[in-house]
Amino acid sequence: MKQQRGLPLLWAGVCGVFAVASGSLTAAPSIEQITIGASPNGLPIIVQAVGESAKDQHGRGRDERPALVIVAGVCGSHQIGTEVAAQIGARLIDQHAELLAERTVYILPVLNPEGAEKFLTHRPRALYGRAPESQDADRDGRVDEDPADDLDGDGLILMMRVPAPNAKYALEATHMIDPDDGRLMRAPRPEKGELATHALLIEGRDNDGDGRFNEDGWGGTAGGGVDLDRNFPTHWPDLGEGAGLYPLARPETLALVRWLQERTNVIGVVVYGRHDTIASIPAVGQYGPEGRVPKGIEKEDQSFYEVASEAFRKITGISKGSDSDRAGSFVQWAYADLGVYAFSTPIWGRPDLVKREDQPSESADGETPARAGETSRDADVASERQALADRGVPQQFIDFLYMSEEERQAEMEAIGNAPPETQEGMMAQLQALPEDVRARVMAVAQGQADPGRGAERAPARDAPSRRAGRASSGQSEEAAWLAWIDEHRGGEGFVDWKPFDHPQLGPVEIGGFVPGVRVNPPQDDVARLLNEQTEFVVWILQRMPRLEVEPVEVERAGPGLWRVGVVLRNDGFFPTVSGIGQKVRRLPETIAALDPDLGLAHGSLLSGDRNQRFAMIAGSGGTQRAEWLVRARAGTEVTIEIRSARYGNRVMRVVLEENR
Amino acid sequence: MSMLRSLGIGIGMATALVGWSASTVHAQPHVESRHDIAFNRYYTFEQIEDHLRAVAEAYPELVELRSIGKSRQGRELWVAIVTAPNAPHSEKPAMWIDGSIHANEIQASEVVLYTLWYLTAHYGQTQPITDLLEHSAFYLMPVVSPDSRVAWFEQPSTPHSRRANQIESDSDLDGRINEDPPDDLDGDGSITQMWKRDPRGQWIRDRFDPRIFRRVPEGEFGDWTYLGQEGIDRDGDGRVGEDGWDGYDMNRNWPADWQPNYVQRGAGPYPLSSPETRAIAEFCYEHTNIAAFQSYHNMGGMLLRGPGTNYRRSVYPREDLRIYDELGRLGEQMLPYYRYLVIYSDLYNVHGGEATWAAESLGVISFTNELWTAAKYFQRDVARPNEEQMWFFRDRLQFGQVFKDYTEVEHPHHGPVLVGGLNKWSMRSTPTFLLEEECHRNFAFTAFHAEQMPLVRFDRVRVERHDEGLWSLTVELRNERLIPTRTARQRQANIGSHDIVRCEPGAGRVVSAGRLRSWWDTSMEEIRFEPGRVQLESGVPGRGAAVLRFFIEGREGSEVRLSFEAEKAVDQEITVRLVPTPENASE
Repeated sequence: MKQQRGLPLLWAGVCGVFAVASGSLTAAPSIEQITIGASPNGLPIIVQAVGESAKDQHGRGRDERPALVIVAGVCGSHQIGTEVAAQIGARLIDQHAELLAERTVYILPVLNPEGAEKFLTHRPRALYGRAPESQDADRDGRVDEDPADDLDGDGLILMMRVPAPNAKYALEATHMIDPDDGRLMRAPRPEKGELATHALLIEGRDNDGDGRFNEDGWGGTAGGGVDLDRNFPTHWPDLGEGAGLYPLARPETLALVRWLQERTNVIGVVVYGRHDTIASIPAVGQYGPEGRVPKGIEKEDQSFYEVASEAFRKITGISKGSDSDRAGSFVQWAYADLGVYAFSTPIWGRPDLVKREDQPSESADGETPARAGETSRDADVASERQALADRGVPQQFIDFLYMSEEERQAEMEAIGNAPPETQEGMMAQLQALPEDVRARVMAVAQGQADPGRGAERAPARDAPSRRAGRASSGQSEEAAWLAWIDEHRGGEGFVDWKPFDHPQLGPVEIGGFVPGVRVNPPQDDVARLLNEQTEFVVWILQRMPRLEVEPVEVERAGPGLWRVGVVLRNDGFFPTVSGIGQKVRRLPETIAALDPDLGLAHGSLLSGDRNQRFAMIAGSGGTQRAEWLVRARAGTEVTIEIRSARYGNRVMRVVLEENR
Repeated sequence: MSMLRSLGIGIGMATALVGWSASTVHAQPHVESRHDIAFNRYYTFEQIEDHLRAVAEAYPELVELRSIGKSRQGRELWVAIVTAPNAPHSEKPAMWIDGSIHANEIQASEVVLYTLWYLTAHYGQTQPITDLLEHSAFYLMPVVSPDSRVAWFEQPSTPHSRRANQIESDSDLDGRINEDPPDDLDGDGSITQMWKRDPRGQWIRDRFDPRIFRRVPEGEFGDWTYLGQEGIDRDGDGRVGEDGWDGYDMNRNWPADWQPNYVQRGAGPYPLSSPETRAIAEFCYEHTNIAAFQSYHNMGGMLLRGPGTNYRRSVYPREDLRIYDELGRLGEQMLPYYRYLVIYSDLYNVHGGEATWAAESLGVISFTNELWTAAKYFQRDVARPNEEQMWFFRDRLQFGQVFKDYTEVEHPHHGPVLVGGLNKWSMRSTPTFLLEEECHRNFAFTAFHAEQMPLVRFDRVRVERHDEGLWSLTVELRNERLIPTRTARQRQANIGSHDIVRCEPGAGRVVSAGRLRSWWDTSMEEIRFEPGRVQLESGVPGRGAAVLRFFIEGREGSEVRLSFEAEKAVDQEITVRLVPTPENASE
């Protein structure tokens, strides 16, 4: 079913009627949708709460059980994160229901619905993932007046390489054409006598005539929105470009922080987004200028991150993550401010960095990995589909073109039954398609043969010779991507430089990577990536802390004198509170309280604080013991309360008597 | 100009004379207000609300009373917008002034209320005040935290409590909320001290003044043991009154160098998490005409500026510090016993403070005044009064009003105890008979600060004819006041819009434009793009000028419109004819 592949969520976001997603996704009994806020245009921000709705053996409801939070779609262009997040809840229920009896998983698939909508629907297409917001980035009193422009009309915002210096516009030469591969631009190596010959600009013109290109507006060098992953308070880039007017100035980020601050049961966070904190773990012992707020992680948490990282690398084959500046990011806030383990992964990255033992991975649900049974025809279809995707054709239209006749009938019927606003949204989408694609969709919808089938196939390229040429050009990031595109995608994903007569700059060349091609994987990889991420989430859930309370011990110490003790034990792998959590102290420590309601006479408690506090109980069977010396008549009943915001409260009553 | 010159030779002399000559003849200057307010007493929040409404009603032409939101407990957040009716407030540079973000620092509200009272009463009667309101606007918020002011007045408090925003919170992190609030055992409205008779105690009472407890020498025994703050351990955890209505410190809740609770207690869950701080921030971000900022606190007699930490020094550029220094040094003269200080180096570290936020995130010149200082008790005679001198002052000048006599109370855990001591009106509040002076001197300081907000006019203009219909037009934009239209901090952090100078010939076109370092420069620094719409990224400097030259292709005698737009100055426009300016005209 399409719905299980999570597309309805994106689809609904595209149509601007996000709420329809709830109908299809609440079908499973243990997923509840909660709206925690809305974007400025009113698109809801939805959290799926996955877990048992009934109380568990300790009397805890869904929001009182220790929880893992999954957040995706902070950046609108990171579609893969949203796709995986939108499907993982149903997957957990289907295959790992036992883990959900005493745990909760909260999933937020799209924090930035407007950014996602813009990335998916705005044409031309740019690598734009911000939350749209007018900025006046250049402070000239005009707003969004100089965005990027699709000069050559190919529907994509690419790069311009401009011979520089330039007479009128003060363009500096910063790059040269890579002699090993004329498609790559790189900085010259002065020690080898190389010279900079070109300026590299985003495709566009100087729309406002101020002498600068694309400096204020959508898709340009600045402005046109807020990067939500730079709008969180932790190490917020003070008034930095795209960081927002102030931390949490955007309703999306504020809604998420408010919602999480209200939760007391969050133990860890998994983020699908541009930062990596799990394939390679963050630095230990680095702090902001105030000396206290970690830029990476605390020493106390390092060993747990290392174990988790090893598991993650084994599951995904991702051998290393790229270090990135997490100032103002959600993941760093979740760690350093909320005080919980926070693992972030882009899910998919440079394919050459994935090192797997070369066996067809046994996926959790028995699906054959897409790569294993690939025939040449499948490869052609895949290549065609990718070419469409690169042109910005929404995924559901691509699916529609390539599905079987029966599937198509069912889809048409489903569309016929959809609410009017969904239908309107789809019609608008259809109208926005490139003309040839629209003709194809119309044709197959009317039961005719697809006039474009086969036409999108990538032209054969001289891939081997390019590879040979690049072998000597080193391991640059761009070269690696290009090699993968040449070898596995028949060159689709990179647009070769083409001359263009720029109205202001004269002759330039336009080309470069297709926006998003290095962010989101080919559709064929999604099933495998979903399996991997599910496996890692399961790995965490299995190792979450579990607070057990052993029976209360009562010992007669003398006449009317009693020693009362209780042991708390953690049977999970992770400690009850992370190292950073003990520093943050956002929530009360675990408290064992004797006689919390002061039922005994004043002065009965001879030794031991009434509230005994435990900052942390170590994992893998670690214990803490509370003990009191109490004066009371034999037969008196006393209450012991275990108070834990994260693991739930328990109340026990014991009678003070010998030989219980 | 006359005001400006008078600054150099002693404040107020010349300006006061102008005021006198403008009013009717009195034996001494007396200005009637349409709503009189006494400033030898303190007002509850409700009484302040009544005064605000009364002043707004009495001066509808000058005052708009606006609620910018509601406190967490639902009280109105009042801002009085004050300006002369010659132009809307939003078109003039404005000064924000607030008080009682820490509502136990009570006199802050009276100072802001006095500011409102003085401005309205003196407009049209005292020339410098009339000028001030013609050129600028004030946003006055006397009570930032009404909930805590109400709590301080109505609930048992100390001079230091109710500083936080009065929310339900688990202050002692024991998993229970507000389970052990303060207890006013003797019912006097203040939380004072508890003493217990103890033959092995460490304290004795003074023979001549039993209000004074003295510690005995080591190895000796006294009669009393100090039990601590008045109250009962209601939750049996061994601590007294540790978890009542409390919350976090709204002066650590602002989005400039905000740091979480574990760096600085009281920060709140995130920046602007309190409805009060958020309402102010939203108002200030929206009102880009705010060009000066003042918040009032107590105590210590200080004129404070940022930064709040040493690592934020770089966000106070040197050009801005010159302005702070000039205002601060002058403030020291206007406010005897006050010192101009820097928060991080002279006081302590502050992250996420309000006034530093205004300086760093709005980029405006911003002060925090710490009202009242012990030096004021005896003024020139005693800088730091000792205990005996303080009792003399309390007895002879305050007639014992700030002390609660010790009385015996039956305590549920300790049995009979003595409860009493200095009450909540002691120490931090300005003694009421000195309050009006405190209000006036601080108001006068802010009036001076406000007067230094940008006042820009087109000054000299020179038109020259060149070849074949080519003209040059040189123009000087002059700012009479100390504060530039864009501070160095605004430039540094890219805050707010650039000033814009337009040159629009009725016929013809602007072919080139450029900046001149001085009026006498022959060559200019060319602006290559959009010569008819010049952006002044650095604005117009304080007590200085921006000089621009436009080359125009146009007909003789045709009109050229010159306009100036700035967020923090009144917009200007003039029309110039393309006719050569005679030699030595205007120069």
